[in-house]
Amino acid sequence: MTALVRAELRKLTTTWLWLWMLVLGLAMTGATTSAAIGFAEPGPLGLESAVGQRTVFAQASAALVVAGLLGIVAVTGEFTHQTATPTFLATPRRRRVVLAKLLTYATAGLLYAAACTAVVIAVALSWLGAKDVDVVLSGTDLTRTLVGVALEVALYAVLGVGLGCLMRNQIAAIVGFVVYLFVLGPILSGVPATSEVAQYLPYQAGNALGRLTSSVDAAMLGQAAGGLVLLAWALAFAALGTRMAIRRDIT
Amino acid sequence: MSDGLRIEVEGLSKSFGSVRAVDALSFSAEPGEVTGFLGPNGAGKTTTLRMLLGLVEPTDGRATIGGATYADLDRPADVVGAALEASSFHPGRSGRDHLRVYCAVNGYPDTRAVEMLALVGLSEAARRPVRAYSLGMRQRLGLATALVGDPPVLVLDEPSNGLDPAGIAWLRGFLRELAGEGRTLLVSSHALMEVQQIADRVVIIGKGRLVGDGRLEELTAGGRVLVTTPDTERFARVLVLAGGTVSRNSGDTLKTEGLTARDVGRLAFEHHVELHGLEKRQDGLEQIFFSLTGVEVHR
Repeated sequence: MTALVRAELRKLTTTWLWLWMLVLGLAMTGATTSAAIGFAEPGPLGLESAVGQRTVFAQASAALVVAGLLGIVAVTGEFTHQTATPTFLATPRRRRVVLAKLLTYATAGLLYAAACTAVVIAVALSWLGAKDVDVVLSGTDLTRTLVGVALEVALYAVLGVGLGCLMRNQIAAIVGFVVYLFVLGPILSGVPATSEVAQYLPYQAGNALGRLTSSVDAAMLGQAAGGLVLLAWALAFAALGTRMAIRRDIT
Repeated sequence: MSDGLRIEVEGLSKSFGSVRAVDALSFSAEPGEVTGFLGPNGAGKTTTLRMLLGLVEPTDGRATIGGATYADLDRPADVVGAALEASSFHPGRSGRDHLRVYCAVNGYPDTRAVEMLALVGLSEAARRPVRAYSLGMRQRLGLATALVGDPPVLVLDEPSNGLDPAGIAWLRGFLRELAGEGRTLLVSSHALMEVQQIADRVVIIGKGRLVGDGRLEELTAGGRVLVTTPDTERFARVLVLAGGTVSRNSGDTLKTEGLTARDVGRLAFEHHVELHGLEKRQDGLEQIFFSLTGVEVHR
């Protein structure tokens, strides 16, 4: 398995996609952190409050978009570029390839999250300092938020791998992911009728893990429960995808 | 490289929906030989090779390499090298990095990638992305990928596609050399001419079924001999008496069937016939196909 993970890491680092995605992730994080501070309104969720500051420090979750996309491309790219043939020739037990990708992209997700967290801390501390706002968030609270977001980003990479397994078609997987993340997920969580159920869906489970509270009163699991639910979705996609799509003939 | 291994295909079948792509196919390929795997486009060659390599699940039958199915091989690259199509590379990855991925998968040292690139003549293009490679260069990179584990068995699907005449000559020598080292080579092609000079044996399939299997000479016997002589009338009678079927091809040239070039030359010598030309015309795959199946190949 170590050899397979090394091979997957090498696949990731020998094209330029990882760098473009990193640049995109850093830029998005910088933008969302700035927006969270710049557009913060005074009040119970304001910048001076612990909740408001928690939201600011959770902005590395912007990287979950690129993490998800990387995970999707890791699998679907094998079919788009027909590298599935040499990949499965080298490793006929295809489940092992999927497992290696899950491990590799969880690691890559953590590294991306770490880089983006550095941006969050740099932007937040300097901007809050300039505004003369004291950091009231406790050390424990801050750590839980940063670690939660890092895990959320990593699990989104894993979710992307799972989604890619389920839908070998790259365009379909990417469109599905983006639509869910930016349209369906927020709507399902925000609408009272579906909010209760939606807390068990990947979008809101991820928010729970990243401790991203919003002003909208939406049902949300606790941090650990949210993390486990997100992990379960990712692994379920991967397992189902391996059984249904990955096992299919490579012609 | 370990000892020679046989490829054995037994009753292999594959259906795609109602289409029977491969139908109860059986044949084998022996160590130290190049086995040509021939058939017109769409005959089921690629599907057969993909079943042999565990990429396509057979509907029936089995294919083994040294007695084991591909999926049972612990580290397949040590045993079988395969090059199936010239397009299975990420366009943005360099040839060297492509090979290094497969060095990593198999735990081979990265120096192997450099050696393989040198072996197939791609050293200068090693760091260029594959999108800048010609089709012939991609074929070479595919070959390098197949050889990265120095395997005793090689399975190559249409390896000469996209190669220029010099490349084809190089490939021929290279494959002969690999077979000479005791490896088992199974090489598919849709053109008989391409494998004629390298294959020891050929397996011919059509519509998923075996139509011929044997030494190339046996299968290509029954070709025609063109002979040019100013004495056509007399020599035609000689050839007919010797059992040949003779027709006038053009001007001074006679087309002879049923006699070997050796027979025709001997008869000319014995009857003091002046010869200006003696040419063996071997049947193409299409004619062999026709004579074996009685079915015209639609192209």
